[in-house]
Amino acid sequence: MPGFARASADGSVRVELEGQEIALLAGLPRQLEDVIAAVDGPVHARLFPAAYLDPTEDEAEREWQRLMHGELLRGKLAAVGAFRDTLDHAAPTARDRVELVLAPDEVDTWLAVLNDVRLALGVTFEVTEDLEIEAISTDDPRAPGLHLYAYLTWVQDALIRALGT
Amino acid sequence: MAGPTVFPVEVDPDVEEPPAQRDLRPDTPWIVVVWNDPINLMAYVVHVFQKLFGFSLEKATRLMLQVHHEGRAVVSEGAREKAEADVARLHAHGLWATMEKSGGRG
Repeated sequence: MPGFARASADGSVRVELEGQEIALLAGLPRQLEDVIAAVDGPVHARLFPAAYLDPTEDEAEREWQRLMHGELLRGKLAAVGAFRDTLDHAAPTARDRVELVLAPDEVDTWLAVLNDVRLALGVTFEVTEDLEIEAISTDDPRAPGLHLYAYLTWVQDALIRALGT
Repeated sequence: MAGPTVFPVEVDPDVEEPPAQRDLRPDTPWIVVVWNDPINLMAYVVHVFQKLFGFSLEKATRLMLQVHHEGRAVVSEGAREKAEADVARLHAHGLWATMEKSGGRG
């Protein structure tokens, strides 16, 4: 079984993945880069929210966006690149399996990338708290996206659990 | 889950500050609010609160549950610049955060 286990007391995490999982995860950087490149729409609004809700702070909001948007964008792209690097360094263990050890900063990179992809999918498919993905029919056009969402939820949760053990 | 409600702010029509003078009082207290959303995992939100603000597991969990049940929670406060930086750090971690003047509502 694929899984996660805390590798050491410094917070690094050992991850073992099956070939199919590697393929899914390896597709994320490209997907996220496409999402980040979009300049408007609901996904963009969720990944790059406003800081001020008060309409009398429009000026401050524009200034904040001017200062922070580029930094936020660069941070997300850097995380995508670092995530890709960790997958490139995965070592095969047994037939169709790979293992990688994520350093603490790489664990944070994984959490951030998984979260951004989940946000993009969740907004796109209008995920709600009581959505039951198992109940989605396989011929539902949303099925592939929602199944990826569910898998990434599982991975993100497993990583956080590994940190807590 | 509905988005955050924008509350009307009363503006005194007689007082028109030029933009350059907006709220430069350094002691104006601002609060940073995290809003509930259906996507972020509860455990992830706790993790981010602990990492960014150094909260204990108990405090981070209590704030996360407040976000979950009440729709929002105040996670930090201070001068405008500090609040803006905290909002940016929360956005970098995918949390939905905004800032507002303290005392606007409870």
